[in-house]
Amino acid sequence: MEWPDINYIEYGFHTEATEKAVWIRALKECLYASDDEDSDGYPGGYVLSKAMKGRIQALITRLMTTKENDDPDGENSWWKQEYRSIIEEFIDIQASVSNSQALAMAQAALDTLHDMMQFRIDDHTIVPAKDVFVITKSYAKLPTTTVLGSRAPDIEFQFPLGNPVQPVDEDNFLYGMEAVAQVDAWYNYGIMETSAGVLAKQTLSNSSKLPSILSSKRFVLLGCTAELGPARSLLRIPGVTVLGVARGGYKLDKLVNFVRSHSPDDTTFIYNPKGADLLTQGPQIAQWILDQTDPSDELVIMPLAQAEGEADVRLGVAMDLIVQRVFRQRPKNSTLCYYLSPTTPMMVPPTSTSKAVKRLNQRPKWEQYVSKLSGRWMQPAWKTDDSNHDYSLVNGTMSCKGSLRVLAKAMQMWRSMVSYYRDGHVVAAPYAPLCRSRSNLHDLGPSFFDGMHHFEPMLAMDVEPASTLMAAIFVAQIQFMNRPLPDMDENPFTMFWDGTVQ
Amino acid sequence: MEVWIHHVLLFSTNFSFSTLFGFWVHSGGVWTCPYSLESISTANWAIGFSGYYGKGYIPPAAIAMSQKEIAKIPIRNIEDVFEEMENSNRDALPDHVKERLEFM
Repeated sequence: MEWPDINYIEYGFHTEATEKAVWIRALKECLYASDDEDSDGYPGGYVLSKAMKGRIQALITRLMTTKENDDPDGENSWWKQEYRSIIEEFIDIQASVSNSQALAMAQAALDTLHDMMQFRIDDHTIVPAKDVFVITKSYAKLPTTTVLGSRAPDIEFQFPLGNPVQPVDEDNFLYGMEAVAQVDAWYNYGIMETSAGVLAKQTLSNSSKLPSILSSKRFVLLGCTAELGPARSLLRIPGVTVLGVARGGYKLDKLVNFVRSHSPDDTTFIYNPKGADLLTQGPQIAQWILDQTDPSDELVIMPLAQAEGEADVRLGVAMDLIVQRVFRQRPKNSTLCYYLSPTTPMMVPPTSTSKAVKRLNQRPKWEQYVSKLSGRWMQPAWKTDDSNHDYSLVNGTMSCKGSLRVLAKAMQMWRSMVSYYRDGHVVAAPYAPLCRSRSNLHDLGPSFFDGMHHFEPMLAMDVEPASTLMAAIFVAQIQFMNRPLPDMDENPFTMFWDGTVQ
Repeated sequence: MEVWIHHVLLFSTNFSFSTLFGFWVHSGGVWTCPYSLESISTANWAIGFSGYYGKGYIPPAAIAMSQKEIAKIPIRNIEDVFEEMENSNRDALPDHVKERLEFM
């Protein structure tokens, strides 16, 4: 998977033009998807107000701006300075238009990425990425290994929750009522939605039923060695089958050893012994998933892999095309899951903003002076519109993560919306907490997390508690396939509030 | 039985209307922090670097009480909770809500 613009001098990619094209094409699609005298009558479209049209046109113009003598790859380029507010405005627009217009924007953005990104078949052949996923059967099949656990299954299984007090020890877990009490403590501290607390407690207090419920499912984890991913939690459950996709190496070996030593003897882990690269073997991986599962299986597919910088978007596109290919073949019985990131612009419930306002009033006075005088430190997180009381916008974007991380995460939101509202799949896509994962410690530094608690209710969780908590929520969300049909009049961003730990 | 006792305990000590009628009413972390992540990143780093909170610090309020400590919390009478709510500034509880609470 490659970007269309290659920098032949430095053997890298130019990404800015493609990035901007994605946002622009989505905005243009919103204009087209409005049903008024200027358009061709888009099915299901709604009239856009003049003010909204003006906002969209202004943002398109802003995105098309080019600055003379601007080095697009430079540290202080125009785009690197401006993307934070531009993407915030984009998300605000997408949340303000109708459901069908928001879906049209999401689909247009995904299509643009699928059209523009290139797939290198060999040294001389490069084709649009979407085309190679049509003919997945023509590639060589990936080898497969199945490994089973060795432990006798527990008579009454209990789902483990990582103990936040001493998380270093891998086997330091809380079970049953102790785990429920810990979820309550987090909830009361204020780091999770009510739904997240209810879902986690449902899993932790009714664990004995899980093996029978989950045995009919096939969990496909793209990037199964991801730190925050649910692989280890799932592989402790008796009777569960997990298909893992990851590159070969130390992390995959460690996970396989974990299965051999910690999993019950009826738990199955299926993987490629040499490892599979999502960037270069996407079509083969899609076909491998289809070959390893039956149409009658309940498929739960979860893209988890992430990378640094521009590779994050390439990975995102590769995983999105795999999901699209698998869902096309398995339109029923398929569930899609993501963990969204709080370091993006987010639509949040209005009650969250009320709480934030209350907390702001309780902060020391000197912080308000710092806020006003500096203009950049200790700025309020939310953006509200007096005429809108349904949601507000919190921009969690962090400059050190870069615009490409936001695009990669936005792609997951767009796929979730389209799959849930238009294609009728079960989708679970809650926000996961900002935890002390290796990538976060690398990007932000350990000191960032040690000082985070100064601004209550910020909480820096360790990986094991965060991973097991999210796994408990995820397991509760995907248990049942018969969900009520989505309301096509609701704001599509509300689907991300369910089960969120921020 | 243990689960039931726990739920009664939670109900009588942490009850609020928001948890009964709203599904997404409480939130925290990044969503309810008064400041944006970007604008406190420097302060976070500086406070963390100074060692003010110590490495791996967890606020005591975010750690669960032990089962022994939970057992020491007096279980409030449901009637007292009703009475408290009736005497608060809220409007009187509608009958169907009372029925539901009694059922729970």
